[in-house]
Amino acid sequence: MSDDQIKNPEQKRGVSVLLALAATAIVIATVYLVATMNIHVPRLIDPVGPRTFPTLIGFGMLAAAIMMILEHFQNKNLPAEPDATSDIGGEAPSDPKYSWIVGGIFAWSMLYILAFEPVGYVVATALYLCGLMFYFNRGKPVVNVLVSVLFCGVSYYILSVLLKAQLPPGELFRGFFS
Amino acid sequence: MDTLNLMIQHFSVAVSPENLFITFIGVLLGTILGILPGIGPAGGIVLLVPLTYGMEATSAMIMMCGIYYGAQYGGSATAILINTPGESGSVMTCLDGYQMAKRGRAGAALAISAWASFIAGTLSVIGLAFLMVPLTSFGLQFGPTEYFALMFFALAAVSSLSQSSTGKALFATMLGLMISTVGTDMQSSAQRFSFGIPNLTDGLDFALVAIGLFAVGEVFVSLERLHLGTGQAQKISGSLWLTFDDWKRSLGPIFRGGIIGFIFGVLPGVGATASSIASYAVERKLSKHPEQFGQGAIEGVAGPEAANNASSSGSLVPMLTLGLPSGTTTALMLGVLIMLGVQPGPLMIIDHPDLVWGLVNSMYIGNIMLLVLNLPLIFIFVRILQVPTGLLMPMVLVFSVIGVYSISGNTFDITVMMAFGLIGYLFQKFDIPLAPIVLGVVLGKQMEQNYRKMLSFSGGDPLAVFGSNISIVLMVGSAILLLLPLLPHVRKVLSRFSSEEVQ
Repeated sequence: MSDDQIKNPEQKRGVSVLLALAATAIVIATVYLVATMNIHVPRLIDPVGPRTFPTLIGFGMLAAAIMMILEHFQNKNLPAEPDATSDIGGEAPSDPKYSWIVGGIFAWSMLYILAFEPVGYVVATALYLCGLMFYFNRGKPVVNVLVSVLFCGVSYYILSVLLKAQLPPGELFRGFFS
Repeated sequence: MDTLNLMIQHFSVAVSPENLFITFIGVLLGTILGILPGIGPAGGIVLLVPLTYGMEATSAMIMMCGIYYGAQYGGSATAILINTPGESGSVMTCLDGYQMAKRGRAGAALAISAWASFIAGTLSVIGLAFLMVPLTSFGLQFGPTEYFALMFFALAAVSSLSQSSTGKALFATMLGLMISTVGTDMQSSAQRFSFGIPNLTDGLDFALVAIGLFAVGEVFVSLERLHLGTGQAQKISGSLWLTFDDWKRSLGPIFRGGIIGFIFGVLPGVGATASSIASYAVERKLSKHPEQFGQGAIEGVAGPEAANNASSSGSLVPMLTLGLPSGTTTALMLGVLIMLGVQPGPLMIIDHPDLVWGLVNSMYIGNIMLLVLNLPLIFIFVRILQVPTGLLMPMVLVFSVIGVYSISGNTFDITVMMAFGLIGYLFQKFDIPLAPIVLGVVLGKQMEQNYRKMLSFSGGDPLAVFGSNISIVLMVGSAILLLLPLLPHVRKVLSRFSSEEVQ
């Protein structure tokens, strides 16, 4: 059966994903095995040493790569299968064109983490939540601000004041919140 | 008789006011998390991991188990009302449950799913209790060689039986094992893969890996999906009382589903989703009216719901007796046990009888609580579906941050957690299963310790892994599991398992 007989685009995508993942696995295994060889082995220790098990894992990763390559060639010969659960909502893979959204959330989260200790939990979190909610829950500015502020205030009081969990008050607000 | 005595002796643990309250909180949270599409039992459990730090191991396990089987109940409501499984085990309930709801029988569908979960859940807890003593006795014969072979078998089973691809699952397993080797080596004090970063010298905390992969990764996926729109919820219509005919048609599927679910739960790597698929296929084959399946047949709800609930009890069998997780949620629970200083394995039932029997007994009580929560109060719970994802998911992100920061007190770990969130998201995008990576992280250290002990005892001979009958059986079984999917015919059957069988 030739490539063009594969009718399902997801299956075509799956085939190329397998090869890309196999390449990734080979890179990871190589880096890991090199790092394993560089582990400093102290003298007078147990006869097995700290390198043995990681070496096994490194070769296991190479085995995974080989398996994915074999599966790639097998998938080429498999006809597309109908999926009985395809009309079930929520399980469909998300559209790749929206992947930039995740990049945006990740970048916004990194800014939040940077501000977390200097600005403090309450202010940094309120701003972080507002940013996300204004984007993902559009058209409801009052609700978004109220939920953000209430969530931060209540969670700080419960966790930090009542449960004595460690949350940063922030350099600016140290006296106020502590 | 021994089992019965042990259960009765430790019943006071489960009915102490503190543990009753914790059981209630666990099943309540489980129901809510099951109803919410996106955050399944694994996500819920990892978010609560930081809370368990100050808790007793027994109470922590009771709460986590409550979340686990509670989510199986809650997940069916979402499946029936919006045709979206609240957690993956409810996927088959969508087929007939949603059709029943569309035909004005949502009440009956919700009621039979609650009753099926209750009956099968309770029976499977009895099965769990009676299997524990003999399996523990068997586990006591294990030495380092058998343990290493057993863990190898578990990882091979989880990789091989993955619904996507064995290669991808093996990739995830190895990644999990690699993560487990980061930090100071316990025997030699050698630094491994910490690259001079002080925060990595103690290794990567299981909690931040799990929270990143399951909670943060799921938030990323859910927020991305917001752009694709969500389904409209069906109103709860029709009575919650079942007719005589409903019961007549459902009792057989409930008992068969319970047995299938329990057996599938015990096996590593199979779990709730596969058990509900198998139960659905069995009921369809046995039915005199297979054409009604997919059109609102009550058997198509009763069987899979019984199966997915029974599988959650079944999966506790290897975890409590051999210290072996059979899937994601039990791997997370095992990780929490280790974190709280309890050594999982056959000795657990001897060293911590309160924990083991207290947990089993709490499951009877939890199932009763769930029946009450999921029948008269289901109208209140489904209102959770009205909470906008755009409000909920950012809060889950903050909960994740709070959780990690409260454990470590540094922002480096939050960054690592976010990075694992990104990995979790990419894994979902590329259909790489997450269960093997968690299993690798949780089992990695123990596996290495047993491997090193085995080599030490055998003077460095790696063939010592074939040193006993038990380990030979397990290693040969692992090889078969890993190589079988490569055979074209078997692969074809596996790929059809989740599709053709249920059509």
